[in-house]
Amino acid sequence: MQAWRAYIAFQWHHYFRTHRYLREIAAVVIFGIFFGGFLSDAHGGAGVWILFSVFAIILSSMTAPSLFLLERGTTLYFLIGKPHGRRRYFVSKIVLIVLIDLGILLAFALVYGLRFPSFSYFLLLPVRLALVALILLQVTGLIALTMAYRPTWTWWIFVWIVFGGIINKGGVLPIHGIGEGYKLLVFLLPPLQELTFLSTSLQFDLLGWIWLGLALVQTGLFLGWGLRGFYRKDIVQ
Amino acid sequence: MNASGTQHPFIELTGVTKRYPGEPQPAVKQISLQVSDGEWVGLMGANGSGKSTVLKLIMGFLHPDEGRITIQGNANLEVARQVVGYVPETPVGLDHLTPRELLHYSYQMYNLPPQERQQRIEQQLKAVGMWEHQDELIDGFSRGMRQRVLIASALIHQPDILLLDEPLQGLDAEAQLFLLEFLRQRPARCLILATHRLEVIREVCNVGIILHRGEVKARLPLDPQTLEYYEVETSPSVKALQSQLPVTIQEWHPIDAQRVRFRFHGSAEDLQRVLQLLKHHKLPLHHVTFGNRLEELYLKYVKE
Repeated sequence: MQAWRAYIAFQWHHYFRTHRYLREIAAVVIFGIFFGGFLSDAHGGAGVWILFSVFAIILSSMTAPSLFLLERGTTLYFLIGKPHGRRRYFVSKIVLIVLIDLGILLAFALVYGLRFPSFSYFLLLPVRLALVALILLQVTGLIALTMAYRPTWTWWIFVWIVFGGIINKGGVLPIHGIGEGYKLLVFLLPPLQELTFLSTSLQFDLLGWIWLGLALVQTGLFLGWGLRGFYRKDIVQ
Repeated sequence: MNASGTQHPFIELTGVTKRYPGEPQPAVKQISLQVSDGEWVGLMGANGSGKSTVLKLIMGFLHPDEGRITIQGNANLEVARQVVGYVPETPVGLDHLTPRELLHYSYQMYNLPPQERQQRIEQQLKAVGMWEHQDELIDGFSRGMRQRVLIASALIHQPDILLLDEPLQGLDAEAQLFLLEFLRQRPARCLILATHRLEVIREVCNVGIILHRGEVKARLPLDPQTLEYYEVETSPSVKALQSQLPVTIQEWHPIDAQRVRFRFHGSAEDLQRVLQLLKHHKLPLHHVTFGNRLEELYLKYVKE
């Protein structure tokens, strides 16, 4: 555990002292302006979680590239050149990205909870946050794929993330016959919209569980493929 | 030690080839070499000969296209790095840390016992003369100071093997002298030093490996007894005294009718005895040179 902690602490230290957080701060400020509108409502509601989930996607899309491309040259060799360096470097980066973004979202969620105090809000907060964390992990895992294989894939990955966020995959189901087999392609998209819906409604019906399962499987695959690619990657600096 | 009780080489490369994408020639081609305990190896070669690539392959930063690399018999380099310390070519980066912070992280990343951490950090920083600067940001350090900190960091886990990539590049004279003196104290059991500067290898290493265009051209024992020589330029009459000379003459070079040059391996005392003999027989002494055959051997193998 000591080595894992050291990797996360080192990268946090590096992120902070090299002022890589500036883009995130800009995003937080812009989001804060929109968020102010929700705070001025007369009553709170679960609808704010749509906003938090979308913000999670945007935030992750900013934090992940800035943290993945953070170390170069001697710094990178310093981290990779230790026992299990590649695995610890890659995994600790993902953990740090998710923790930073989740921390920001938690801060907003707490502000909202304090504005409209309710016991049920805080009771359900961990469940909703867990779903948002899954969104963060899935987006980070996808972006990590580009870092592990080809950074030039970044645009395609962002297109994939955007489609995952806007397409209502449940809407194309059920499938009637082989002729509509192409509709199965929706299962290749990250179910970001469905996770957003789940974090808002907390309606865990059959389809909800399917999307949650799909998100977990996809996230596992993205992280696994990313780690595999990073293991095989030549570190040329 | 393997199952049969024999010692593995500390580092072994077998038939290793590495190509960089877009490059027509492989960076290293079918390299096989072994480095054992107690060997201080100098990887010699011009820029682009593959020296840095060999070190990066050993560290596992690059994957070989062909061949196999083991460290103390272990082909899993991710694990085997526990016994290796590496100092990269350019000592830049890590500017936002202090030496103490850097060594602290480095120590933790090796998963070493926390109770010995402070003592080990102090020991390493003192060894490289950076203890007084432990809480200053690396950002303000000279290249030489950065190099010292990186070496301390590479040695924090007391590795058996130390890999240094052009460690004297860009250092001022004082920093170079410090580093050479530090390396002469042999801070690890085995070292691979990649440099194009033969005098550094001569000073520090006991084995030399000549790399040229990605191929190993020669592996030479760097024994001062066989590499260092004196050349004395005097009258050709000295040939009549050959049996009286206290040393074995390796080569004779006639220069003209009045002068001849001869070469021998030996100590400074041997040279004194030769000079006394010349003086005794009233032979003129035109010139005395001290030299090392490493440069000659290097050029010979590179031109082959």
